[in-house]
Amino acid sequence: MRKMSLVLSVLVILSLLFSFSLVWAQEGASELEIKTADAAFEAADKGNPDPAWKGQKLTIGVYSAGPRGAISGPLYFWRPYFEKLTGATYDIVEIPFAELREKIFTDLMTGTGTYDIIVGPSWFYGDYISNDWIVPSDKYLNDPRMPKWEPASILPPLQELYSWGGKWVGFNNDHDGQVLYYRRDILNDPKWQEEFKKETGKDMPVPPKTWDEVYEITKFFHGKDWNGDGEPDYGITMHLKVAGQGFFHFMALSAPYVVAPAPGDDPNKVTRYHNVYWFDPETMEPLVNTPGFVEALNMLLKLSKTGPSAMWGWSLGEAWDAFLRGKAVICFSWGDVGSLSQLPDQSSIKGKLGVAPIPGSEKYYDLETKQWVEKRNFVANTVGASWHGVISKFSKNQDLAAYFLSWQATPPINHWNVVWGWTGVDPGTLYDLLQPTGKSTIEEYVATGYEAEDAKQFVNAYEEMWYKYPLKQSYLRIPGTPEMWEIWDIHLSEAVTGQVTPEEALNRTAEDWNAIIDRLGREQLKKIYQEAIGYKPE
Amino acid sequence: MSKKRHRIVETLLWIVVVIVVLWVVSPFYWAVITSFKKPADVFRLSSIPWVQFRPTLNNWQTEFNQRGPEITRGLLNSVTIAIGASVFAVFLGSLAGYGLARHRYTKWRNQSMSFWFLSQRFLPPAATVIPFFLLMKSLKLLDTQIALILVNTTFVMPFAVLIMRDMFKELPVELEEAAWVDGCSRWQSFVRIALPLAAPALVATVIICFAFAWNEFLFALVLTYKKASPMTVVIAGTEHTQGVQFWYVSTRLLLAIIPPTILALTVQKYIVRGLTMGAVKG
Repeated sequence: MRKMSLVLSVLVILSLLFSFSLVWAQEGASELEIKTADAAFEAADKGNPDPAWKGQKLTIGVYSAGPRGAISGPLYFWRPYFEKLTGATYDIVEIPFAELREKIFTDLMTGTGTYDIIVGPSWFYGDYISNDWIVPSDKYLNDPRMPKWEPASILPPLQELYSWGGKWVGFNNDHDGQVLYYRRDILNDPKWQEEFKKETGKDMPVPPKTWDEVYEITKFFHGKDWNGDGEPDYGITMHLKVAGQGFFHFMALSAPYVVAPAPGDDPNKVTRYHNVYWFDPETMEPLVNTPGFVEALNMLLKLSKTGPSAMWGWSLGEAWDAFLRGKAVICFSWGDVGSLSQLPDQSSIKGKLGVAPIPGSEKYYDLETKQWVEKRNFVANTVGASWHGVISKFSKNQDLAAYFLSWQATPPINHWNVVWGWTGVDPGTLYDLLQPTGKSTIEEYVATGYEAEDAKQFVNAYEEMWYKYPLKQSYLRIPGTPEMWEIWDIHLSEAVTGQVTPEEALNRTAEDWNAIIDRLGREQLKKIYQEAIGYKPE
Repeated sequence: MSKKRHRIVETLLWIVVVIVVLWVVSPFYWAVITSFKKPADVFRLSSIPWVQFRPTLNNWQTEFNQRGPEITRGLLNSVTIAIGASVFAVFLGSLAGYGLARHRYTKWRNQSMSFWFLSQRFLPPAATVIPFFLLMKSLKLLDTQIALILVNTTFVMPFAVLIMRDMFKELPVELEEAAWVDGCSRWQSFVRIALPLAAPALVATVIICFAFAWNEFLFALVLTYKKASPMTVVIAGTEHTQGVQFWYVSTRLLLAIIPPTILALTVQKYIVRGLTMGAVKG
C-alpha cells in the first residue's frame, strides 16, 4: 500500500509540475520577439474578418516540432493574435515527421475532415490535386474578407511550387532550397590559399562555383587539421543515410548536369528535352539513368570520399553538427543551416559562415542531341518541403481557414517568421531579400541575433540562386512521389556504399519507377506531370 | 572442482555479469547524460559530465516550459490506456482462461480455441489499423482513450487468456469441488476460491499487459490526434525535419519509463511468483 502511495505521489507531482508549466510556456518568447511581432501584427493587412467566425475553432495538422520548433512553432506563437483578430481559435495537431503522410492521407482518403488546414510538404501535391483533396488558394485571392498577401513577391521558382496549372493552390509560408555553406574564415585565409596553390597549382576558387571546384576544395582540406584542434578534419559533410533525406543532396547536385536550357529566345521554355528533370514528358520514361545523372552520381561519390565515411550512416542532425561545430569546411543543405549556425548552443561558427548559391556543372547532357555540352550550367533548386498551408476540401470552415492562411502569408508576418530563424521558415520572397533587389535590411536580421556578414551571405546566396540563376529544376508533384523518392534513396545508398555501380543503381531506380508508373497509370500520371511542370505538347 | 578452476569460472562469471549489466544499463545512462547535454555536445563521444562536457538543465527546462501540458497529457493518457486495457484484458482473460481450464468443449476443442487466441498475437497490427480506424470513425471514438483501451485490449488479451488458463489448470480442482459441496455456485467458487488463489498470476498478467499497452505506438498514432495521444506518440514527435532531437528524446523517454518502472518495482514479488507458479511440480 505504501508503495502504491509512492507511485501515485510521483505521478501527481509530475502532473502538477508539467501542468504549471503551461503558464511558463506562454512566457517563452523574448521581449524583443513580442515587440517586433506586435509591430508586424499592426503592419499586416487584416482584411475584414467575418463576425460570424467568433467562437469557431479550426484544426491545423502540422509535423511535430513543438511550440518553439521549426514550422509548428509559429502556429503556437501567432495563435493569441489570431484569437484577438477574429474571436476564433485553432487546435494544433502535431504529427511525427515519419508518419505525416499516413496520418494526413488517411484523413483525406476517408473524408474524416479532422484537419481544416494541413501545413505539409510540397511533395503531397500530386495526391492533393489528383484526388481533389484541397481548396485552391486562388479562390480567395480577391475575397475582400481576406488579408492581402503578395503572391508576386515570391521568387520565381517558388511561385511554380505554390501554384498548379497557372492558379495558386497553396498559401505562402516557407521556402526551401539547398545552397552551399562553407567556412568563410578558412577559405579566405591567405595561409590556406597559398597552401592550396602550392598543392594544386591553382588559385583557390572562393566561393566555389561548380561541383568540380567544390571537389577540389574538399579534397584539399580533407584530412588536414585546418581548425587547429590537433585532429584531422573533414572536407565535406553530408547526410547519406537511407531515410536520412540524402537523396535531396543528389537532387540539388545533379540538376545542372541534367537540366538543359531551351534553344531560342527563352532558355526557360519547357520542351520535351529542355528544362525537364524527372521524366520524358511525352512517354513518362524516367530520365534518372541518363548520362547526366550518372555523371552527377559519380561526382557525389567523389565528394563523399572527402568526408568521413561515417556520414553514410548520418542523417540531418549528425551531418549539420559536423559543420556547425567546425569539423567540416563545406556542406550543402537547406536554410536551416544558416539559422542554426547563429545559435550558440549548436554552433561554433557564428561570424565565420560563407554561403554561396548551389554550384553548377562544367558541362550538361543534351537529351535531344544525346551529347554533352561543354559549358557551365547553373540550375536553381526548390529541393525540400517548402512547408506551407493548404485547405482540406473536407473542412467545414474553409473561409476561416483561408483567412488564417492569408493572414499568415502577409508580408509583415511572413517576414517576421523568416528573420526569426527558430521558426524554420526560410527566406524566399522579395521582402526577405536585402535592398536594392529586395526590401529588407541587414539590420532586421541582426536584430534577431544574426551576425551581419553571415546574414548577408545567407540571404544573398538565395537571392542569386532564385532570382538570378538562368534555369530551375522542376519539383516532382505527381501521385506516388514519396514512394519513388524512397526507392531512389535506397538505390543511391547502394551506389554510395559501393554495392553496385552508379549506372546499375540508377538503372534499378528507373526500372522501379517504371513499375510504379505502370501500376498507378502511365497516361494519368503523364497528364499530371505535364501540368505540374507546365509542359504543353506541340 | 579444483580451487584454481573454481576461481577461473567465478572470474568468467563476473565478466559475463559485468558485460550484461553494462549492456542493460548503458541505454539508460546514455539517456540520462544526453538529457543533460547541450545539442552541440550530443553528437560528440562524451560520456563523463563535467570532464568531457558541461551538463545543463536546459533540455529539462525547455521540456517543462514548452511541452509541459503535452507531456502531462501524454503520461496521463498512457497510464489510463495501459491500466484500462490491462484490467479489461485480465478481467476477460480470467473468465476465458477459467473456462478453458475447467471445461472441455467438444464442438470447438479447447486446444483450437487456445490457438485461436494465440493467433491474434500473430496478426500484424498494420493489417488491422485501417479497419480499426474506420470502425472508430463510425463509432465517433477517434482521438479518445476508449478507442485505444478497446484496441489494446484486443491485442493483449491473448496473453491474459493463456497465462490465466495455465494458472487455473495448476490449481487443484478439489478446492473448488469442496466449495461446491458446501453450497457455492460455480461463479462463487470462481470468485471466492480460484481468483484469490490466482492473485500472483493476475498481477503478473496485469503487468505484462500493461507493458504491451504502454509501449503500443501504431494504433495510438493512427487513432488519436491530440487529446488521447499517449507518450509513445509524444516521444516520436522529437523527430522532425531538422533531424531527431536526441536531447528531447532522452528527457521524454526517462519520463516515460518512470511509471512502469515504479509499478514493476512495487509489484515485483507478485511478478516472480506469478510467472514461476507451476514451474516446479511436486
